[in-house]
Formats: sequence, C-alpha cells, structure tokens
Amino acid sequence: MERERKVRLFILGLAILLPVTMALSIVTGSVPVSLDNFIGLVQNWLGMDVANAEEQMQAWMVVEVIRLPRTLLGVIVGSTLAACGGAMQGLFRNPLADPSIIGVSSGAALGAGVGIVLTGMLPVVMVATLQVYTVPFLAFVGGFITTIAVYKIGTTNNGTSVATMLLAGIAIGALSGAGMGILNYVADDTMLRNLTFWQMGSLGGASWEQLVFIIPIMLALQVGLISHARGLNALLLGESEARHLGFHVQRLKIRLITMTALGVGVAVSISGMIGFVGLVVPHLVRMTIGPDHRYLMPASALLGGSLLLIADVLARIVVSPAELPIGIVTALLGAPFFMSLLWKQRGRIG
Amino acid sequence: MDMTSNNQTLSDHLALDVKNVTVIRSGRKLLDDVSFQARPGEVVALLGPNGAGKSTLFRAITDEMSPDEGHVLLNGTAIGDWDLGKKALTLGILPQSSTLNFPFSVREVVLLGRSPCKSSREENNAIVDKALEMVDASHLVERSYTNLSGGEKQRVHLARVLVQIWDQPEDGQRVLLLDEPTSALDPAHQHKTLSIAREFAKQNVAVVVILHDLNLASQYADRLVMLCAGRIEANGTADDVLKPDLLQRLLDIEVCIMRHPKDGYPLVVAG
Repeated sequence: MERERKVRLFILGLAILLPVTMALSIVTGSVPVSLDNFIGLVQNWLGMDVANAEEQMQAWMVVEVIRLPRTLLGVIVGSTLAACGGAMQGLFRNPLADPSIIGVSSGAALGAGVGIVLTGMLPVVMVATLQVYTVPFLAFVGGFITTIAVYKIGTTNNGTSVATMLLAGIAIGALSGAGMGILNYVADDTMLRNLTFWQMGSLGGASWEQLVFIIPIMLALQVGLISHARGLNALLLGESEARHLGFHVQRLKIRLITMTALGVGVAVSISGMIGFVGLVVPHLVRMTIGPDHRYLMPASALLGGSLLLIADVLARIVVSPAELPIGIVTALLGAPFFMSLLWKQRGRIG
Repeated sequence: MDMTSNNQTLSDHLALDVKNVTVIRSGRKLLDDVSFQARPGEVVALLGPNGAGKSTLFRAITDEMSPDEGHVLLNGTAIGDWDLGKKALTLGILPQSSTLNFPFSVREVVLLGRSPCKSSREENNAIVDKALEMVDASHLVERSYTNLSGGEKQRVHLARVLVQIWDQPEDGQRVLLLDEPTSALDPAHQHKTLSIAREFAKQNVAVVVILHDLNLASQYADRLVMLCAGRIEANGTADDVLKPDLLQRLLDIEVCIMRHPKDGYPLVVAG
C-alpha cells in the first residue's frame, strides 16, 4: 500500500511541474516576456482593465502568436509521444521499444515526406489546405505499416527480442532513408526546406490553426491509450495469458497499434522527428512508481509534456538568438540514456 | 488421501470433455483421436514421455490451437464458442513458464488474475492474500517479481490462476488446468501445489494437471491419463495405469510397483 501513496504523490508532483514548465516556456526566448506580461494578457482576454496595456502590446503579441502555440504544441506532442512509447513498450513486452528506435518515426516521416512532395506538386492555392490533412494522414499510414512490420518480424509469444526489434528498426530506418533520399532528389527548394525540417524536428512551426486540429485528436488518443491500461498490464504476462484472462488480444493489439501509429504519425507530421521521448519518459516513470499502466500511462503523458518543454527551452537558449532543432536536443539527451539502458541489459539481450 | 468419498460426490455433468481430438501439423499426427473427460471434483493427471503430445493437447484445450477433427467442450459448450470474459471465470490456466519481465510487485502480478472478476478492490486484495498464503508466498507480497527465483515465480503464477477462478461462477463448473506446475519446485512445494489442486477439487473444481512424477500422480490424482505418441494409451486409477508391463512399453523404464506403507496407493520404483 506504500506504493499507492507514492503513486499519488508522484502524479501530483507532475501535475504541478507541467504548468511550471509551461510558464518557463512562455517567458523564455529572444524577446523578453515576463510572467507579469502573461498575467496581464490573460486579464486582457478576460476583459479586465490592464494598466500600461500599450507598453505590453509587443510582449502580448509574442505570447499570443508564437510562445503560447509553441508551448501548447510542446505539451501535446510530448505527452502523446510519451504515452505512445509507454503503450508500445507494453505491446512489445519490451521496455526498450520506442517509436524512434524501432523505426516507426522514420516510417511516419517518410509518409509525411511523400505527403509534402505530392501536395507540393499541386497548384499553390491548394497546397496549404491539402497539406494540413494529407501530411498527417500519410504519416499515420507510414507509422502504421512500420509498427505492424516490426511487430510481425520481432514478436513471438515469448515477447519481443531486443536484437530483432532493433535490427528491424535499422532495416526500416535504412529503407525510409532511401525513400527520403529519392524525395530529396525530386523535391524543389521549398519542399527541400520542409523535408529537412521534418528530419530534425522542431516546435517552431506551431500555429493556432494546427492546434485546433491536433489537440482534440491527440487528447482523444491519450484517453484511448490510458483506457487500455488493464489490457496492457495483462499483455505483459504474454499473449496467451492475456487471452486466458479474458482479453480479446487480437482486437487489443490492433487498437494499440492503430492508436500509437496515429499518435506518432500526427506528432511527426506536425513537429518532425523528435526521438527518445517515448523511451526516456516511461522509463523514468516506471523506475519511480512501477510498471502498472493505469498509473504509468497518465504519469508518462504529464511528464512527457514537461520534459519536451524543457528540451525546447534548452533548444531556444543554448545558441540564442538562433535555436537548435529540438530533435537534436532530445537525441543528445536520449541517446546516452538509451545506451546506459543497453549497458545494463547486456548479457540479457537476445 | 481418501478418493472414494470424493468420487461419490461427482455429478454426471462433465466440466471438461475432450472428444476425438485429432491435430495434424506438417503432415504429422500430433494427436490421434484423443478423448478424455474431467468431472467436477476430480483431479486428472496427464502423463506421458516428452513429445507425447501433452503440450499440443493442452493448447487444444485452451483454444490456442484448433483441432483438425473433434472438439473440446467446457461445461457442454465448445471451447471456441465461449465469451472470453465468462470463460476466464470458469477456466484457469497455468502455463509451464511465463515471460513476464517487468518489475511488477508480487501483489500486482497476482491481482492481474482478478482482472476478469467484478469484485471490489478490498475483496480482491483479501483474496490475493489468501491465495498467496496457500502457495506459501505471503512473505513475498511486496517483492519485485523480476527478482524472484524460478520456483517462487511458479508459485506466484499459481496464485494468480487460483484467484482467477476463486469464486464459483453463476452457472457451470470451474476447470483448473496446470501444465507441469511442479517443474521448478522443491519437494515440499511440489506436495503443497498438488494439495492445493486437491483442495480446489473439493470445491467441485475439475483439475487437469500435466505431471512427469508418477508417484505424485499416484498420490494426488483420482485418475491417470497416459498419452503416448499422440494417442491415449491408458486411462484409469493409479492401480489400473501404474503397471510394470505398461510402463515398460510406454515409458521405456523398468519398474517395480510397491505400496505406500501408510496410505496404500501404488508407488513406482525404478529398477
């Protein structure tokens, strides 16, 4: 019962951490914005009179047009990637499964790339509207095909072999890389810039139009994933055991694969390849409160949002006034973490 | 162990009915016209040499492999026609080994067995405590599953399966299927495990247990079913099945049959 108190405290802590990191993300950047500015803006939205509103206009603009959308995008993408990572580790019965490591992200990126190039060939007026839907959809298709492929290749009733899973990831990464190469070859300058951005990952492109479209999808997905927590727990025992416990395993697997592919696909299509969030976050949570998905999934979503915002803040201040692509920051933090996990697992990998 | 009194309470109803099951894979007959029954309150031991088809039969019973001919009935209904949730409350299955490698606590692992049940958290925790006490693993309750020894893990999984079929379902009789539940256990816990099987049989559960140890089967089972090369070669009480010529022919071992000095059941001694 000690564990339950720990779980409650931990989730409470995460629920406090998230608004703190959001505030940090709003006040950090090349244009100075203070917390007072932000509070003033909120009061202004609520129709209250704000002293020296004129002076604050510039800060307000920055918050409204850039910082707030970017912050919300960071929260929703980070939490979705973390929840998808947690679900994928349960599905593969392997704590090292991560969308970026097993190639799901690169599959999704290839789908997004195909979308960019295809829609880019259309007349300019149609491009913008079509891209909003086509690119996430193709990213989802890419992610879906990849997840199924890796699952089929790597998973037996004894779980997923780490080596097979990673090798499948390498093969799929190579294939997607080749596909990206072809796309680069046929792309024009605008497309090329878009493609490069996709491969690095960034929250810089956040806009309210996008957010209105993706926040409901991703929130629904997270709720969907969290609601399958019991099934995920049973799945950890093995597929047959989960079936013996009364779960429709085939249906469960298809749902989990669809939802994770959709989550990763939409995240990749909006913010590019941001790796390791899905690996690092559920791992930290599991180390603290254990593997029960009923707590692991919501806690991962909360922590994922916060951690991605912290990574984004780092990306903005390290080389200020320029900024690093956030994918580079998460890789710099996540890859050594992954290596340390491999180090701990060595001898058990097979 | 008094077996006659137990037999008298058996109803005519069959909890598990395996009817003429034949399984052919890659042109080989893994099971050839296999039939046997388990009645409520009965412990049936399934015996046979390696490769006899015990695991195939197990998988046919658990609906992981569909037979080419014949069928398996659970409480009179074909195993594949059951609603999965209801089936989980009726049929408890302990596989030979588990691949769980996430650091659940022992309590959490056993609680997973309660997932098909609709009882409250307090009830579930109380049942888990009782089951862990039964398998002699109460002291492990807060330990991390991944740090347990092989035998401890096996007992924890037994507890998980016991809590799954702990309550008498609304209709029908429960079946407990154990695949070599004693393979990783020390002698004391081997006896403990089979005593638990008997205790569940007393509550009218039909227990089918795959065993290698003939003497354990003789001591605890009401009936011994001997499987060899995919066919059932013997099906009866320990006295019917444990005969030197039969064991010589099926298991290729030379044995003497003796009597247990106190309880009188047959004991198999090699040589």
